[in-house]
Amino acid sequence: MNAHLILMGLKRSGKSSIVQTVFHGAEPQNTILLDTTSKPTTFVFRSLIDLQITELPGQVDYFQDTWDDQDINSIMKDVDCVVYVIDCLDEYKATINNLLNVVSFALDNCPHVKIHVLVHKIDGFSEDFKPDIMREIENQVSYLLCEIGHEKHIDYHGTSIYNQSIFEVMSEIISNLVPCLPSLENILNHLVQHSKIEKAFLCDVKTKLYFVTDSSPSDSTLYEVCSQFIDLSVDINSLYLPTHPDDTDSEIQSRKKQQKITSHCTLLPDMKIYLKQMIKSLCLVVYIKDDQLCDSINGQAILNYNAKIFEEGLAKIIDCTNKDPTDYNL
Amino acid sequence: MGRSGSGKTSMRSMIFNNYSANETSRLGATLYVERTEVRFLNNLNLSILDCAGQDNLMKNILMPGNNQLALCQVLIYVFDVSNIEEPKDYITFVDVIKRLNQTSPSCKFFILFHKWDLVMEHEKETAKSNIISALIKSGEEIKFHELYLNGTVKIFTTTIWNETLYLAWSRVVEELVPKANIMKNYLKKISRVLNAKELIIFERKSFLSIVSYSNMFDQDNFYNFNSDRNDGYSHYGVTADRSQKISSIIKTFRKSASYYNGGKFQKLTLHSRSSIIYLDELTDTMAIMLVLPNAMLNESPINQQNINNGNSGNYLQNNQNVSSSTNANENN
Ligand SMILES: Nc1nc2c(ncn2[C@@H]2O[C@H](COP(=O)(O)OP(=O)(O)OP(=O)(O)O)[C@@H](O)[C@H]2O)c(=O)[nH]1
Ligand SMILES: Nc1nc2c(ncn2[C@@H]2O[C@H](COP(=O)(O)OP(=O)(O)O)[C@@H](O)[C@H]2O)c(=O)[nH]1
Ligand SMILES: [Mg+2]
Repeated sequence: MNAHLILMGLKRSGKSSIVQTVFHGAEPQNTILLDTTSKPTTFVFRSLIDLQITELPGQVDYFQDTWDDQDINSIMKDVDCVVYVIDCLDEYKATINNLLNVVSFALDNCPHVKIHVLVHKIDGFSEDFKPDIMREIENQVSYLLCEIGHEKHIDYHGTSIYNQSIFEVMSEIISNLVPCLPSLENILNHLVQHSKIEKAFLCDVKTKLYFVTDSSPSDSTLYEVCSQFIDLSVDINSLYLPTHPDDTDSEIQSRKKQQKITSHCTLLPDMKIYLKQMIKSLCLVVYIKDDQLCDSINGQAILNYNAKIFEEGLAKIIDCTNKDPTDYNL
Repeated sequence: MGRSGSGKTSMRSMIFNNYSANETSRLGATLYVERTEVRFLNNLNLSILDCAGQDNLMKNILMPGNNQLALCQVLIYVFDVSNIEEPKDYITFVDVIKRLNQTSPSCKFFILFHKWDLVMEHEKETAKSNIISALIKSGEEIKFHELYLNGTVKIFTTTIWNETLYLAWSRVVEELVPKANIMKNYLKKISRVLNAKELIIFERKSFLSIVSYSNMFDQDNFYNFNSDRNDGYSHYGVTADRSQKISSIIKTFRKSASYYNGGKFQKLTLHSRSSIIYLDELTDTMAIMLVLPNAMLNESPINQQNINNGNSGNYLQNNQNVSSSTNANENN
C-alpha cells in the first residue's frame, strides 16, 4: 500500500518543523533552529502504509517563474494529497494567493487530489479567537475560489506543534489515505463493542500517529494520554532489553521491534489503558472505563483474547489489500 | 543554595510539585527562604529550604544571628555552569560552607553543576575539571580537596531537561533515608525468591528511587543507555541510570494522565519477549517495580494481583516505623 503526500506553504510557515516533530520525534522548541528548506526533500514513512512525504520549499513560486529543477507537473503527477501550511501569525494575503494557484493547478491537472489546509501556529491565538481566525481564512479562500469559478472541497484544520493538535490532524489526514480504512474501522468497532472498550486507536509505535480509531467521539486529552502510554511502555521496556556488546544500532532497533509488548496501566479511580503491539510497528491502544474489567483476571484474559483476534483480522486485511488493491472489503 | 537564577526553585518544583521542565520558565526569583515540608516515607519529614540567591538576600541568610541553617543535614549547592562569575561565586560558596561547618557540623554537601545541557558536548570534560580545580583552589581554607576525596562532598552534573536531575536528588534522598541497608537486604531476599532481574523502590510522591537491587550483572549484558555518567555516581552502575529514567518517564506520564479526568497513575503491568515488569503501590508512601525474566512466567510464585497483599508492604512499612524488626520473612 502506497501513498504520496506533499507539504506546501510559504517559507517559515512551519513545514519542516511539522515533519521534524511528527515523524522524527524532535522537541517542538528545538525547531526554532531549523534552516529554511531550499530543495524538495522526500522521505518514506513506513508503517501500515508506505507514505512518501515530500516537502516543497516555500521560497520558490512554482507557478510563475519558469522553475528549472523539476517541473511542478512531474512533482504533482502521482500525488494523493496536498497539505498546505498557512502561518496564521503572519500576514496571509500572499499565502492565500499561492494557495489559490495550487488549488487551481490541482483542479486542472489532478482533480482527485485531496487538499488540506493547516492553519498553523494557532497556539499564538487565545482559545476565543481560534474559531474566528479559522473561519476568516476559510471564507477568504472559498470566496476567491468562487470568483475564479472553481469549486473544490478543502478541509481546514487548526494546528500547532506545541500541542497534540498536529498529531491528531496528521493522523486524520493520513488515515484517509489508507485504502482499506473501512474494513479496519469495521473490525475495530467490533472489538470495541465486544470488549467494553470506550475508545480504541490503532497507532504507529514510533510517531504515535493513529491510522484507525473507532466511531465513538474522540477527545484530544485522551489521545494524548494514550500516545504517552505508548512512549512509556516502549521506553521502560527498552531499559530491560537484553543485548550483546557487539550489537549494531540496527540490530538493537530490530530487537526492539520484535518485542511485542503487551501492557496496561490503571488510573484511579476506574480507568485503564491497555496496549498491545502488533504487526508492522503498529499498536492497539484502548481506553477502558469499567471497574470489573480493570481488576479481574478474567477481564484481562478476554481483552487479550479479543485483541489477538483483532490482530489476526488486521493481518488478513493487510495481506488481502496488498495482493489485490481493488478488492479490500472482506 | 546557589546564585540567583541558577535553577534551585526549578528543581524543587519539578521534584516535589510536579512541574514540567517547560513550566519552570514561569518561576520568579525567590525572596528570602522558601520552606517546603515534605512527608517522605511515613515518618520522615523533609524540610527543604530554598534560599534566595540574590547577593544581599544571601548575605542576610548567612548573618551570624540567623539560625535558619542550623542543624541542616544536607546542603545542595547549585552552580549555573553557563554563567559562573569568578572568583565571586566561589568565595560565596566557601562562605556558605564555613557557616554551615559552624551551625551543622555533620552536614553533607552535594554540589550540582547545573544547566549542564548548555555546555557543548566536547567541552563537558574540561568544563567539569576546570570548575573542580577552581573549587579546590578557592576552598583551601575549608579543605575542599579533602572533603571531595573522602566523599563528604559529592558532585553531580545536572539539568532539568533529562534524568540527571532525578539521579542527583535520589542520591540526596538516599543520604537521608534511615535503614536503607535493611531494605536493600530485604530486596535481595525477595529477588532470590522470585528470581527477579531487578527490584526498585520509589517514594510515591516524588517518584525518586530510594533503594534498588539488581541481579542483572550476573546475566548477559543489558542495554546500557548512552548517558554521560560522571564520577560521583559511576560506581552505582546501570541500575541507577535505569531508575532515574523510570522516575522521569513515570512522572511525565503521571502528569499527562492527570489531565484526563484527573486520572491518578496507580499501577503498570508490562509483558514483552524479554521481561515482565510490574509497578505497583507498596505502602502509602512507597511504590515498587519488579522486573522478572519472561521465561519463568509460569513458575513465578507471584502474580500481579498480590504484590500488594503480600507481606512485603507490611514488612517495609514496619521497618520505617519500628527500629527493631530485623527478622525478614522468607515466605513472601
Ligand atoms: N537550560 C537550562 N535552564 C534551566 C535549567 N534549570 C533551570 N533553568 C532555568 O533557569 C531559570 C531560573 O531558575 P530558578 O529556579 O527560578 O532560579 P533560582 O535558583 O531559584 O533563583 P533565585 O530564586 O533568584 O535564587 C528558569 O527560567 C529555568 O527555566 C537547566 O538545567 N537548563
Ligand atoms: N508558535 C509556533 N511556532 C511554530 C510552530 N511550528 C513551527 N513554528 C516555528 O516557525 C519557524 C519556521 O519553521 P520551519 O519549519 O523552518 O518553516 P518551513 O520553512 O516552512 O520549513 C520555526 O522557528 C518554528 O519553530 C507552531 O505550531 N507554533
Ligand atoms: Mg528561586
